[in-house]
Amino acid sequence: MLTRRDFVTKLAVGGALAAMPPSVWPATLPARAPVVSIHMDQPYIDVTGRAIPYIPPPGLRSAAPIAHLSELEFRTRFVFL
Amino acid sequence: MVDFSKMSTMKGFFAPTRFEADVYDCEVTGKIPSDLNGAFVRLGGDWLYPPKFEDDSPFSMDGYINTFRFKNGVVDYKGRWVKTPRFKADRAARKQLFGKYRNPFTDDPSVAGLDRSVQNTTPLAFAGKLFTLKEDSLPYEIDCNTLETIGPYNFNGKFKSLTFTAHPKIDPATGEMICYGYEAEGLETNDVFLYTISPKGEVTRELRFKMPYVAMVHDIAITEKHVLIPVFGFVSSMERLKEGKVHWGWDDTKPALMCVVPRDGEAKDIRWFKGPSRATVHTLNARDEGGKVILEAAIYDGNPFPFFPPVDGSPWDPAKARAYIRRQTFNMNSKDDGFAEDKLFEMNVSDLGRVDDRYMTQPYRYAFTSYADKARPFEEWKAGNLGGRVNNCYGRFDLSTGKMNSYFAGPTHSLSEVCFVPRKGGAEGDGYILGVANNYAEMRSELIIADAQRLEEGDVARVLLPFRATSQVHGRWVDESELPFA
Repeated sequence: MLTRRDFVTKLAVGGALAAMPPSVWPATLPARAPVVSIHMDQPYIDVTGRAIPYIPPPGLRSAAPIAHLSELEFRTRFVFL
Repeated sequence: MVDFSKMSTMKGFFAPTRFEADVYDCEVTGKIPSDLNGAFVRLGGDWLYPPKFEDDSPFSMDGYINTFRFKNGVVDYKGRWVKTPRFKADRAARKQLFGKYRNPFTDDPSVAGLDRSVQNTTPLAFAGKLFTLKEDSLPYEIDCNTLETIGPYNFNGKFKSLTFTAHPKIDPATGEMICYGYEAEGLETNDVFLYTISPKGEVTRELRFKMPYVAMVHDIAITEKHVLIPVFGFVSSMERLKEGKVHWGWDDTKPALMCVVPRDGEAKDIRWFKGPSRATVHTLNARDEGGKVILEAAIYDGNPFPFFPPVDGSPWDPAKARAYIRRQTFNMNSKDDGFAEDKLFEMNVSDLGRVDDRYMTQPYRYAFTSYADKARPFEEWKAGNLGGRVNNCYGRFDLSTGKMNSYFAGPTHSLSEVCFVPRKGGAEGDGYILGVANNYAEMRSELIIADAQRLEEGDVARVLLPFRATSQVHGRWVDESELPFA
Protein backbone atom coordinates (compact mmCIF):
# COMPACT_ATOMS: atom_id res chain seq x y z
CA MET A 1 0.00 0.00 0.00
CA LEU A 2 1.20 3.52 -0.79
CA THR A 3 1.37 5.55 2.41
CA ARG A 4 0.94 9.28 2.71
CA ARG A 5 4.65 9.61 3.50
CA ASP A 6 5.59 7.54 0.46
CA PHE A 7 3.37 9.67 -1.70
CA VAL A 8 4.88 12.95 -0.56
CA THR A 9 8.30 11.51 -1.28
CA LYS A 10 7.22 10.53 -4.76
CA LEU A 11 5.85 14.03 -5.34
CA ALA A 12 9.25 15.40 -4.53
CA VAL A 13 10.80 13.38 -7.31
CA GLY A 14 8.01 14.12 -9.73
CA GLY A 15 6.52 10.66 -9.82
CA ALA A 16 3.29 11.34 -8.01
CA LEU A 17 0.89 11.14 -10.89
CA ALA A 18 2.20 7.77 -11.97
CA ALA A 19 1.63 6.44 -8.49
CA MET A 20 -2.05 7.34 -8.29
CA PRO A 21 -4.52 4.47 -8.56
CA PRO A 22 -6.28 5.05 -11.86
CA SER A 23 -9.52 3.52 -10.61
CA VAL A 24 -10.11 6.49 -8.31
CA TRP A 25 -9.90 9.14 -11.03
CA PRO A 26 -13.32 10.71 -11.41
CA ALA A 27 -14.68 10.92 -14.92
CA THR A 28 -16.18 14.39 -14.63
CA LEU A 29 -14.45 17.58 -15.64
CA PRO A 30 -13.25 19.95 -12.89
CA ALA A 31 -15.31 22.91 -11.83
CA ARG A 32 -12.22 24.45 -10.31
CA ALA A 33 -8.60 23.63 -10.61
CA PRO A 34 -7.97 20.03 -9.53
CA VAL A 35 -6.19 19.43 -6.26
CA VAL A 36 -4.46 16.38 -4.88
CA SER A 37 -6.42 14.97 -1.98
CA ILE A 38 -6.06 11.94 0.26
CA HIS A 39 -8.58 9.21 1.02
CA MET A 40 -7.53 6.57 3.57
CA ASP A 41 -3.86 7.27 2.96
CA GLN A 42 -4.28 6.98 -0.78
CA PRO A 43 -3.87 9.96 -3.12
CA TYR A 44 -6.47 10.90 -5.67
CA ILE A 45 -7.25 13.92 -7.82
CA ASP A 46 -10.18 15.92 -6.49
CA VAL A 47 -11.27 17.40 -9.78
CA THR A 48 -13.92 19.61 -8.14
CA GLY A 49 -11.29 21.52 -6.28
CA ARG A 50 -13.85 21.89 -3.48
CA ALA A 51 -12.67 19.11 -1.14
CA ILE A 52 -15.89 17.22 -1.65
CA PRO A 53 -15.71 13.95 0.31
CA TYR A 54 -14.47 11.05 -1.74
CA ILE A 55 -17.08 8.49 -2.78
CA PRO A 56 -15.62 5.18 -3.91
CA PRO A 57 -16.81 3.81 -7.24
CA PRO A 58 -19.56 1.19 -7.02
CA GLY A 59 -18.25 -2.15 -5.84
CA LEU A 60 -15.26 -0.80 -4.01
CA ARG A 61 -15.07 -1.29 -0.22
CA SER A 62 -17.93 -3.76 -0.25
CA ALA A 63 -16.85 -5.21 3.10
CA ALA A 64 -17.14 -1.82 4.81
CA PRO A 65 -20.80 -2.15 5.95
CA ILE A 66 -19.85 -4.72 8.60
CA ALA A 67 -16.47 -3.36 9.63
CA HIS A 68 -17.91 -1.52 12.64
CA LEU A 69 -19.23 -4.70 14.24
CA SER A 70 -17.85 -5.86 17.57
CA GLU A 71 -16.37 -9.33 17.77
CA LEU A 72 -19.63 -10.55 19.30
CA GLU A 73 -21.79 -8.97 16.59
CA PHE A 74 -19.45 -10.10 13.82
CA ARG A 75 -19.36 -13.72 14.92
CA THR A 76 -23.11 -13.68 15.55
CA ARG A 77 -23.89 -12.73 11.96
CA PHE A 78 -21.08 -14.34 10.01
CA VAL A 79 -19.69 -17.83 10.34
CA PHE A 80 -18.29 -18.52 6.90
CA LEU A 81 -16.98 -15.44 5.09
CA MET B 1 -43.02 -6.96 -0.30
CA VAL B 2 -39.46 -8.06 0.31
CA ASP B 3 -37.57 -5.70 2.58
CA PHE B 4 -34.08 -6.42 3.82
CA SER B 5 -33.49 -2.81 4.91
CA LYS B 6 -34.01 -3.67 8.58
CA MET B 7 -31.27 -6.33 8.41
CA SER B 8 -28.42 -4.09 9.45
CA THR B 9 -25.60 -6.37 8.32
CA MET B 10 -27.06 -7.55 5.01
CA LYS B 11 -25.37 -4.75 3.09
CA GLY B 12 -22.58 -4.39 0.56
CA PHE B 13 -20.97 -7.72 -0.18
CA PHE B 14 -23.20 -9.35 2.40
CA ALA B 15 -26.54 -8.44 0.89
CA PRO B 16 -28.62 -11.42 -0.21
CA THR B 17 -28.25 -12.35 -3.89
CA ARG B 18 -31.55 -14.26 -4.30
CA PHE B 19 -31.06 -15.44 -7.86
CA GLU B 20 -30.24 -18.67 -9.63
CA ALA B 21 -27.44 -18.52 -12.15
CA ASP B 22 -25.79 -20.23 -15.08
CA VAL B 23 -22.47 -19.06 -16.45
CA TYR B 24 -21.40 -20.98 -19.53
CA ASP B 25 -17.65 -21.03 -20.12
CA CYS B 26 -16.51 -18.92 -17.20
CA GLU B 27 -13.82 -16.28 -17.46
CA VAL B 28 -10.52 -17.75 -16.31
CA THR B 29 -7.13 -16.28 -15.52
CA GLY B 30 -4.19 -18.66 -15.72
CA LYS B 31 -4.73 -22.17 -17.02
CA ILE B 32 -7.12 -24.80 -15.70
CA PRO B 33 -5.16 -28.03 -15.09
CA SER B 34 -6.17 -30.58 -17.72
CA ASP B 35 -6.34 -33.38 -15.16
CA LEU B 36 -9.17 -31.70 -13.21
CA ASN B 37 -12.34 -33.25 -14.63
CA GLY B 38 -15.42 -33.31 -12.43
CA ALA B 39 -17.12 -30.67 -10.32
CA PHE B 40 -16.39 -28.53 -7.32
CA VAL B 41 -19.71 -28.64 -5.51
CA ARG B 42 -20.50 -25.97 -2.94
CA LEU B 43 -23.37 -25.89 -0.50
CA GLY B 44 -24.29 -22.97 1.67
CA GLY B 45 -27.06 -20.53 2.13
CA ASP B 46 -28.69 -17.28 1.26
CA TRP B 47 -31.86 -15.64 2.55
CA LEU B 48 -34.78 -15.89 0.16
CA TYR B 49 -36.75 -13.78 2.64
CA PRO B 50 -35.51 -11.93 5.71
CA PRO B 51 -35.39 -14.05 8.86
CA LYS B 52 -38.34 -13.63 11.23
CA PHE B 53 -35.88 -12.82 13.99
CA GLU B 54 -32.75 -10.80 13.27
CA ASP B 55 -30.89 -12.65 16.04
CA ASP B 56 -31.57 -16.04 14.45
CA SER B 57 -28.62 -18.25 13.58
CA PRO B 58 -27.06 -17.86 10.12
CA PHE B 59 -27.49 -21.64 9.94
CA SER B 60 -31.15 -20.94 9.12
CA MET B 61 -30.33 -19.55 5.67
CA ASP B 62 -32.04 -21.25 2.73
CA GLY B 63 -29.88 -23.89 1.10
CA TYR B 64 -28.18 -23.04 -2.18
CA ILE B 65 -26.13 -25.55 -4.16
CA ASN B 66 -23.69 -24.52 -6.82
CA THR B 67 -21.18 -26.30 -9.02
CA PHE B 68 -18.09 -25.36 -10.93
CA ARG B 69 -18.07 -28.07 -13.61
CA PHE B 70 -14.57 -28.76 -14.94
CA LYS B 71 -14.22 -30.48 -18.28
CA ASN B 72 -11.24 -30.46 -20.65
CA GLY B 73 -9.77 -27.27 -19.26
CA VAL B 74 -12.93 -25.14 -19.19
CA VAL B 75 -15.39 -24.42 -16.38
CA ASP B 76 -19.16 -23.85 -16.33
CA TYR B 77 -21.00 -22.54 -13.26
CA LYS B 78 -24.51 -23.35 -12.11
CA GLY B 79 -26.33 -22.27 -8.93
CA ARG B 80 -29.75 -23.35 -7.69
CA TRP B 81 -31.79 -23.06 -4.52
CA VAL B 82 -32.41 -26.35 -2.76
CA LYS B 83 -36.15 -26.50 -3.19
CA THR B 84 -37.27 -27.99 0.10
CA PRO B 85 -40.88 -27.91 1.31
CA ARG B 86 -39.81 -24.99 3.49
CA PHE B 87 -38.43 -23.06 0.53
CA LYS B 88 -41.56 -23.74 -1.51
CA ALA B 89 -43.85 -22.66 1.34
CA ASP B 90 -41.99 -19.38 1.86
CA ARG B 91 -41.92 -18.71 -1.86
CA ALA B 92 -45.64 -19.35 -2.20
CA ALA B 93 -46.40 -17.05 0.74
CA ARG B 94 -43.82 -14.49 -0.44
CA LYS B 95 -42.51 -14.17 3.12
CA GLN B 96 -40.58 -15.98 5.81
CA LEU B 97 -42.87 -18.41 7.60
CA PHE B 98 -40.26 -20.20 9.68
CA GLY B 99 -38.84 -19.01 12.96
CA LYS B 100 -35.67 -19.66 14.87
CA TYR B 101 -33.06 -22.31 14.19
CA ARG B 102 -34.54 -25.77 14.71
CA ASN B 103 -37.40 -24.43 16.81
CA PRO B 104 -40.81 -25.21 15.30
CA PHE B 105 -42.56 -23.39 18.16
CA THR B 106 -41.52 -20.10 16.58
CA ASP B 107 -43.03 -20.86 13.15
CA ASP B 108 -46.14 -19.49 11.52
CA PRO B 109 -48.98 -21.93 12.37
CA SER B 110 -49.64 -22.49 8.67
CA VAL B 111 -46.46 -24.57 8.32
CA ALA B 112 -46.91 -26.83 11.35
CA GLY B 113 -45.63 -30.31 10.60
CA LEU B 114 -43.77 -29.34 7.43
CA ASP B 115 -40.12 -30.38 6.98
CA ARG B 116 -38.24 -27.34 8.36
CA SER B 117 -34.87 -28.29 6.91
CA VAL B 118 -33.01 -25.74 4.80
CA GLN B 119 -30.38 -28.18 3.40
CA ASN B 120 -27.47 -25.77 3.56
CA THR B 121 -24.49 -27.63 4.99
CA THR B 122 -22.60 -30.29 2.99
CA PRO B 123 -22.81 -31.75 -0.51
CA LEU B 124 -22.26 -35.49 -0.83
CA ALA B 125 -21.68 -37.72 -3.84
CA PHE B 126 -22.30 -41.36 -2.95
CA ALA B 127 -23.56 -44.46 -4.73
CA GLY B 128 -23.87 -42.51 -7.97
CA LYS B 129 -26.14 -39.85 -6.49
CA LEU B 130 -25.67 -36.25 -5.41
CA PHE B 131 -27.12 -35.16 -2.08
CA THR B 132 -27.41 -32.09 0.10
CA LEU B 133 -27.03 -32.67 3.81
CA LYS B 134 -28.34 -30.89 6.89
CA GLU B 135 -28.20 -32.60 10.25
CA ASP B 136 -31.83 -31.92 11.16
CA SER B 137 -33.35 -34.04 8.41
CA LEU B 138 -32.81 -36.73 5.80
CA PRO B 139 -30.49 -36.07 2.84
CA TYR B 140 -32.04 -34.46 -0.22
CA GLU B 141 -31.23 -35.97 -3.59
CA ILE B 142 -30.20 -33.48 -6.28
CA ASP B 143 -29.94 -33.96 -10.04
CA CYS B 144 -26.20 -33.56 -10.63
CA ASN B 145 -26.68 -31.97 -14.06
CA THR B 146 -29.60 -29.60 -13.51
CA LEU B 147 -29.12 -29.14 -9.73
CA GLU B 148 -32.88 -29.39 -9.38
CA THR B 149 -34.11 -30.90 -6.13
CA ILE B 150 -35.49 -34.45 -6.34
CA GLY B 151 -36.40 -34.86 -2.65
CA PRO B 152 -35.57 -36.57 0.63
CA TYR B 153 -33.79 -39.92 0.49
CA ASN B 154 -33.83 -42.75 3.06
CA PHE B 155 -31.72 -45.44 1.38
CA ASN B 156 -34.58 -47.64 0.27
CA GLY B 157 -36.35 -47.24 3.59
CA LYS B 158 -33.50 -48.82 5.54
CA PHE B 159 -32.18 -45.60 7.08
CA LYS B 160 -34.54 -45.28 10.01
CA SER B 161 -33.18 -42.20 11.76
CA LEU B 162 -35.23 -39.07 11.10
CA THR B 163 -32.01 -37.11 10.74
CA PHE B 164 -28.77 -37.60 8.79
CA THR B 165 -25.45 -36.04 9.66
CA ALA B 166 -23.79 -33.35 7.55
CA HIS B 167 -20.51 -35.24 7.95
CA PRO B 168 -20.63 -38.87 6.91
CA LYS B 169 -17.25 -40.49 6.39
CA ILE B 170 -16.22 -42.67 3.44
CA ASP B 171 -13.71 -45.40 4.26
CA PRO B 172 -11.24 -45.25 1.33
CA ALA B 173 -10.31 -48.90 1.80
CA THR B 174 -13.82 -50.34 1.57
CA GLY B 175 -15.83 -47.54 -0.03
CA GLU B 176 -18.35 -47.86 2.79
CA MET B 177 -20.04 -44.82 4.25
CA ILE B 178 -20.20 -44.47 8.03
CA CYS B 179 -23.03 -42.12 8.90
CA TYR B 180 -25.49 -41.39 11.66
CA GLY B 181 -28.41 -39.37 12.83
CA TYR B 182 -28.81 -37.75 16.24
CA GLU B 183 -32.11 -36.70 17.75
CA ALA B 184 -32.80 -39.74 15.63
CA GLU B 185 -36.31 -40.45 16.90
CA GLY B 186 -37.47 -36.84 16.87
CA LEU B 187 -36.98 -33.41 18.30
CA GLU B 188 -35.08 -33.43 21.63
CA THR B 189 -34.61 -37.18 21.79
CA ASN B 190 -31.18 -38.39 22.87
CA ASP B 191 -31.01 -41.29 20.43
CA VAL B 192 -28.15 -41.83 17.98
CA PHE B 193 -28.51 -44.29 15.09
CA LEU B 194 -25.14 -45.23 13.57
CA TYR B 195 -25.06 -46.83 10.10
CA THR B 196 -22.74 -48.50 7.66
CA ILE B 197 -23.85 -48.17 4.04
CA SER B 198 -22.25 -50.11 1.18
CA PRO B 199 -20.74 -48.36 -1.86
CA LYS B 200 -23.93 -49.32 -3.74
CA GLY B 201 -26.07 -47.49 -1.21
CA GLU B 202 -27.39 -50.45 0.81
CA VAL B 203 -27.63 -50.19 4.58
CA THR B 204 -25.54 -53.08 5.94
CA ARG B 205 -25.39 -52.26 9.63
CA GLU B 206 -27.30 -50.24 12.22
CA LEU B 207 -26.36 -49.54 15.83
CA ARG B 208 -28.68 -47.64 18.15
CA PHE B 209 -27.56 -46.04 21.40
CA LYS B 210 -28.43 -43.15 23.67
CA MET B 211 -26.42 -40.05 24.56
CA PRO B 212 -26.09 -38.93 28.18
CA TYR B 213 -28.01 -35.77 27.22
CA VAL B 214 -29.32 -34.06 24.09
CA ALA B 215 -26.30 -32.43 22.48
CA MET B 216 -24.99 -31.39 19.09
CA VAL B 217 -23.07 -34.12 17.25
CA HIS B 218 -21.92 -32.32 14.15
CA ASP B 219 -19.01 -34.44 12.92
CA ILE B 220 -17.29 -37.76 13.56
CA ALA B 221 -14.00 -39.41 12.67
CA ILE B 222 -13.32 -43.01 11.69
CA THR B 223 -10.41 -45.39 11.99
CA GLU B 224 -10.15 -48.91 10.58
CA LYS B 225 -11.74 -50.25 13.76
CA HIS B 226 -13.54 -47.39 15.49
CA VAL B 227 -15.92 -44.48 15.11
CA LEU B 228 -15.15 -41.39 17.22
CA ILE B 229 -18.12 -39.18 18.10
CA PRO B 230 -17.31 -35.86 19.81
CA VAL B 231 -19.95 -34.51 22.17
CA PHE B 232 -19.55 -31.12 23.80
CA GLY B 233 -21.39 -28.20 25.37
CA PHE B 234 -24.13 -27.38 22.86
CA VAL B 235 -27.24 -28.59 24.69
CA SER B 236 -30.95 -28.38 24.08
CA SER B 237 -34.29 -29.13 25.69
CA MET B 238 -37.96 -28.96 24.88
CA GLU B 239 -38.27 -26.28 27.56
CA ARG B 240 -35.89 -23.89 25.81
CA LEU B 241 -37.69 -24.42 22.52
CA LYS B 242 -41.04 -23.62 24.11
CA GLU B 243 -39.44 -20.46 25.50
CA GLY B 244 -38.82 -19.41 21.88
CA LYS B 245 -35.05 -19.83 21.87
CA VAL B 246 -32.77 -21.20 19.18
CA HIS B 247 -32.20 -24.95 19.37
CA TRP B 248 -28.78 -24.85 21.02
CA GLY B 249 -27.36 -23.12 24.06
CA TRP B 250 -23.83 -23.48 25.38
CA ASP B 251 -23.34 -25.15 28.77
CA ASP B 252 -19.78 -24.47 29.92
CA THR B 253 -20.12 -27.04 32.71
CA LYS B 254 -20.32 -29.90 30.23
CA PRO B 255 -17.05 -31.75 29.71
CA ALA B 256 -15.73 -32.71 26.30
CA LEU B 257 -16.94 -36.26 25.76
CA MET B 258 -15.59 -38.65 23.16
CA CYS B 259 -17.78 -41.60 22.33
CA VAL B 260 -15.59 -44.37 20.87
CA VAL B 261 -17.61 -47.07 19.12
CA PRO B 262 -16.07 -50.25 17.67
CA ARG B 263 -17.14 -50.42 14.02
CA ASP B 264 -18.16 -54.05 14.50
CA GLY B 265 -19.32 -53.64 18.10
CA GLU B 266 -22.57 -53.26 20.00
CA ALA B 267 -23.84 -50.55 22.31
CA LYS B 268 -22.31 -52.33 25.30
CA ASP B 269 -18.86 -51.96 23.74
CA ILE B 270 -18.99 -48.14 23.59
CA ARG B 271 -16.37 -46.26 25.62
CA TRP B 272 -16.98 -42.69 26.79
CA PHE B 273 -13.86 -40.61 27.43
CA LYS B 274 -13.99 -37.30 29.27
CA GLY B 275 -11.85 -34.14 29.19
CA PRO B 276 -11.97 -30.39 29.84
CA SER B 277 -14.53 -28.25 28.04
CA ARG B 278 -13.90 -28.11 24.30
CA ALA B 279 -15.84 -27.80 21.05
CA THR B 280 -14.80 -30.29 18.38
CA VAL B 281 -17.16 -29.12 15.67
CA HIS B 282 -15.14 -30.61 12.79
CA THR B 283 -12.49 -33.31 12.63
CA LEU B 284 -9.47 -33.86 10.39
CA ASN B 285 -8.60 -37.56 10.61
CA ALA B 286 -8.12 -40.46 13.03
CA ARG B 287 -6.33 -43.79 13.18
CA ASP B 288 -5.66 -46.84 15.33
CA GLU B 289 -2.14 -47.17 16.71
CA GLY B 290 -1.63 -50.28 18.80
CA GLY B 291 -4.14 -50.04 21.62
CA LYS B 292 -4.68 -46.34 21.09
CA VAL B 293 -7.07 -44.33 19.00
CA ILE B 294 -5.68 -41.00 17.82
CA LEU B 295 -7.65 -38.03 16.53
CA GLU B 296 -6.47 -34.75 15.03
CA ALA B 297 -8.84 -31.80 14.68
CA ALA B 298 -8.94 -28.01 14.92
CA ILE B 299 -10.63 -27.72 18.30
CA TYR B 300 -12.05 -24.72 20.16
CA ASP B 301 -11.61 -24.11 23.89
CA GLY B 302 -15.23 -23.09 24.20
CA ASN B 303 -18.28 -21.84 22.34
CA PRO B 304 -17.44 -20.72 18.79
CA PHE B 305 -20.99 -19.59 17.96
CA PRO B 306 -22.38 -16.61 19.89
CA PHE B 307 -25.76 -17.11 18.22
CA PHE B 308 -26.01 -20.21 20.42
CA PRO B 309 -25.52 -18.26 23.67
CA PRO B 310 -24.47 -19.55 27.10
CA VAL B 311 -27.40 -21.10 28.95
CA ASP B 312 -26.40 -19.43 32.23
CA GLY B 313 -26.76 -15.94 30.78
CA SER B 314 -23.04 -15.19 30.97
CA PRO B 315 -21.46 -13.23 28.14
CA TRP B 316 -20.01 -15.08 25.16
CA ASP B 317 -16.24 -15.38 25.49
CA PRO B 318 -14.40 -14.62 22.24
CA ALA B 319 -11.10 -15.75 23.76
CA LYS B 320 -12.41 -19.31 23.80
CA ALA B 321 -13.69 -19.12 20.24
CA ARG B 322 -10.28 -19.79 18.71
CA ALA B 323 -9.52 -23.15 17.11
CA TYR B 324 -6.12 -24.83 17.25
CA ILE B 325 -4.96 -28.02 15.57
CA ARG B 326 -4.70 -30.57 18.35
CA ARG B 327 -4.15 -34.29 18.81
CA GLN B 328 -6.23 -36.29 21.24
CA THR B 329 -5.14 -39.80 22.24
CA PHE B 330 -7.53 -42.36 23.68
CA ASN B 331 -6.00 -45.42 25.34
CA MET B 332 -8.36 -48.31 24.71
CA ASN B 333 -6.28 -50.61 26.96
CA SER B 334 -6.72 -48.39 30.01
CA LYS B 335 -9.80 -48.26 32.22
CA ASP B 336 -9.14 -44.54 32.76
CA ASP B 337 -11.79 -42.42 31.05
CA GLY B 338 -9.42 -39.48 30.54
CA PHE B 339 -7.45 -38.72 27.39
CA ALA B 340 -4.25 -36.94 26.41
CA GLU B 341 -4.28 -33.77 24.33
CA ASP B 342 -1.47 -31.94 22.53
CA LYS B 343 -1.61 -28.62 20.69
CA LEU B 344 0.28 -29.22 17.42
CA PHE B 345 0.38 -25.62 16.16
CA GLU B 346 0.18 -22.45 18.22
CA MET B 347 -1.63 -20.46 15.53
CA ASN B 348 -5.38 -19.92 15.47
CA VAL B 349 -6.95 -21.51 12.37
CA SER B 350 -10.32 -22.22 10.80
CA ASP B 351 -11.78 -25.49 12.05
CA LEU B 352 -12.96 -26.25 8.50
CA GLY B 353 -9.88 -28.33 7.74
CA ARG B 354 -9.33 -31.09 5.21
CA VAL B 355 -6.90 -33.93 4.60
CA ASP B 356 -6.10 -36.05 1.58
CA ASP B 357 -9.20 -38.25 1.84
CA ARG B 358 -7.35 -41.25 0.43
CA TYR B 359 -5.55 -41.35 3.79
CA MET B 360 -8.64 -41.32 5.96
CA THR B 361 -8.28 -43.91 8.79
CA GLN B 362 -4.54 -44.14 8.03
CA PRO B 363 -1.33 -42.46 9.24
CA TYR B 364 -0.95 -39.22 7.28
CA ARG B 365 1.16 -36.13 7.16
CA TYR B 366 -0.73 -33.10 5.83
CA ALA B 367 -3.73 -31.09 6.93
CA PHE B 368 -5.11 -28.12 4.99
CA THR B 369 -7.12 -25.25 6.38
CA SER B 370 -7.58 -21.50 6.14
CA TYR B 371 -6.48 -18.82 8.55
CA ALA B 372 -6.23 -15.04 8.94
CA ASP B 373 -2.69 -13.73 8.51
CA LYS B 374 -2.71 -10.19 9.86
CA ALA B 375 0.79 -9.62 8.53
CA ARG B 376 -0.43 -9.88 4.95
CA PRO B 377 -1.61 -6.67 3.26
CA PHE B 378 -5.29 -5.84 3.28
CA GLU B 379 -6.15 -2.88 1.05
CA GLU B 380 -8.72 -1.13 3.18
CA TRP B 381 -9.23 1.68 0.68
CA LYS B 382 -10.42 -0.86 -1.88
CA ALA B 383 -12.03 -3.56 0.23
CA GLY B 384 -13.32 -2.02 3.44
CA ASN B 385 -11.70 -2.40 6.82
CA LEU B 386 -12.08 -6.11 7.55
CA GLY B 387 -8.34 -6.72 7.64
CA GLY B 388 -7.37 -9.39 10.14
CA ARG B 389 -10.96 -10.56 10.60
CA VAL B 390 -11.25 -12.72 7.50
CA ASN B 391 -9.27 -15.74 6.35
CA ASN B 392 -6.88 -14.62 3.64
CA CYS B 393 -4.59 -17.68 3.49
CA TYR B 394 -4.73 -21.41 3.00
CA GLY B 395 -2.12 -23.37 4.90
CA ARG B 396 -0.66 -26.83 4.43
CA PHE B 397 0.21 -28.03 7.90
CA ASP B 398 2.85 -30.76 8.09
CA LEU B 399 1.92 -32.76 11.17
CA SER B 400 5.23 -34.63 11.12
CA THR B 401 7.56 -31.61 11.07
CA GLY B 402 5.40 -28.80 12.44
CA LYS B 403 6.08 -26.68 9.35
CA MET B 404 3.45 -24.77 7.40
CA ASN B 405 3.29 -23.64 3.78
CA SER B 406 0.97 -20.83 2.84
CA TYR B 407 -1.14 -19.60 -0.06
CA PHE B 408 -2.23 -15.93 0.02
CA ALA B 409 -5.45 -15.08 -1.82
CA GLY B 410 -4.90 -11.35 -2.28
CA PRO B 411 -5.17 -8.00 -0.51
CA THR B 412 -8.94 -7.58 -1.00
CA HIS B 413 -10.05 -11.18 -0.51
CA SER B 414 -11.41 -13.61 2.06
CA LEU B 415 -11.41 -17.37 1.66
CA SER B 416 -14.06 -20.03 2.16
CA GLU B 417 -13.28 -23.58 3.28
CA VAL B 418 -10.38 -25.24 1.49
CA CYS B 419 -10.79 -28.41 -0.57
CA PHE B 420 -7.96 -30.76 -1.47
CA VAL B 421 -8.07 -32.66 -4.77
CA PRO B 422 -5.45 -35.41 -5.11
CA ARG B 423 -3.63 -35.87 -8.39
CA LYS B 424 -4.48 -39.36 -9.67
CA GLY B 425 -1.67 -41.73 -8.74
CA GLY B 426 0.13 -39.04 -6.76
CA ALA B 427 1.58 -39.32 -3.27
CA GLU B 428 -0.14 -37.85 -0.23
CA GLY B 429 -0.55 -34.09 -0.64
CA ASP B 430 0.21 -34.15 -4.39
CA GLY B 431 -2.67 -32.36 -6.04
CA TYR B 432 -4.59 -29.11 -5.96
CA ILE B 433 -6.32 -26.95 -3.42
CA LEU B 434 -9.58 -25.36 -4.46
CA GLY B 435 -11.63 -22.75 -2.71
CA VAL B 436 -13.74 -19.68 -3.31
CA ALA B 437 -12.31 -16.26 -2.56
CA ASN B 438 -14.60 -13.29 -2.12
CA ASN B 439 -13.14 -10.16 -3.70
CA TYR B 440 -14.44 -7.14 -1.76
CA ALA B 441 -12.99 -4.66 -4.26
CA GLU B 442 -14.66 -6.14 -7.31
CA MET B 443 -17.92 -7.39 -5.68
CA ARG B 444 -17.35 -10.84 -7.13
CA SER B 445 -16.27 -14.33 -6.16
CA GLU B 446 -13.32 -16.18 -7.60
CA LEU B 447 -12.58 -19.90 -7.47
CA ILE B 448 -8.87 -20.31 -6.88
CA ILE B 449 -6.91 -23.36 -7.96
CA ALA B 450 -3.40 -23.80 -6.58
CA ASP B 451 -0.80 -26.54 -6.66
CA ALA B 452 -0.88 -27.98 -3.16
CA GLN B 453 2.88 -28.53 -3.21
CA ARG B 454 3.69 -25.00 -4.39
CA LEU B 455 1.37 -22.83 -2.36
CA GLU B 456 3.80 -19.93 -2.08
CA GLU B 457 3.80 -19.59 -5.88
CA GLY B 458 0.14 -18.53 -5.85
CA ASP B 459 -2.71 -19.94 -7.87
CA VAL B 460 -2.34 -21.66 -11.21
CA ALA B 461 -5.80 -20.48 -12.27
CA ARG B 462 -8.78 -18.44 -11.09
CA VAL B 463 -12.34 -18.80 -12.28
CA LEU B 464 -13.94 -15.36 -12.13
CA LEU B 465 -17.66 -15.13 -11.48
CA PRO B 466 -19.28 -11.85 -12.53
CA PHE B 467 -21.18 -11.70 -9.22
CA ARG B 468 -21.01 -12.62 -5.54
CA ALA B 469 -21.39 -16.34 -4.91
CA THR B 470 -23.66 -17.37 -2.06
CA SER B 471 -21.86 -18.08 1.19
CA GLN B 472 -20.44 -21.58 1.49
CA VAL B 473 -20.52 -23.88 4.46
CA HIS B 474 -18.82 -26.90 2.91
CA GLY B 475 -17.58 -27.80 -0.55
CA ARG B 476 -16.48 -31.09 -2.07
CA TRP B 477 -14.62 -32.09 -5.21
CA VAL B 478 -16.53 -34.76 -7.14
CA ASP B 479 -14.54 -36.64 -9.76
CA GLU B 480 -16.42 -37.16 -13.02
CA SER B 481 -16.35 -40.93 -12.42
CA GLU B 482 -18.48 -40.54 -9.28
CA LEU B 483 -21.67 -39.14 -10.81
CA PRO B 484 -23.52 -39.47 -14.14
CA PHE B 485 -22.46 -36.07 -15.42
CA ALA B 486 -23.69 -35.12 -18.89
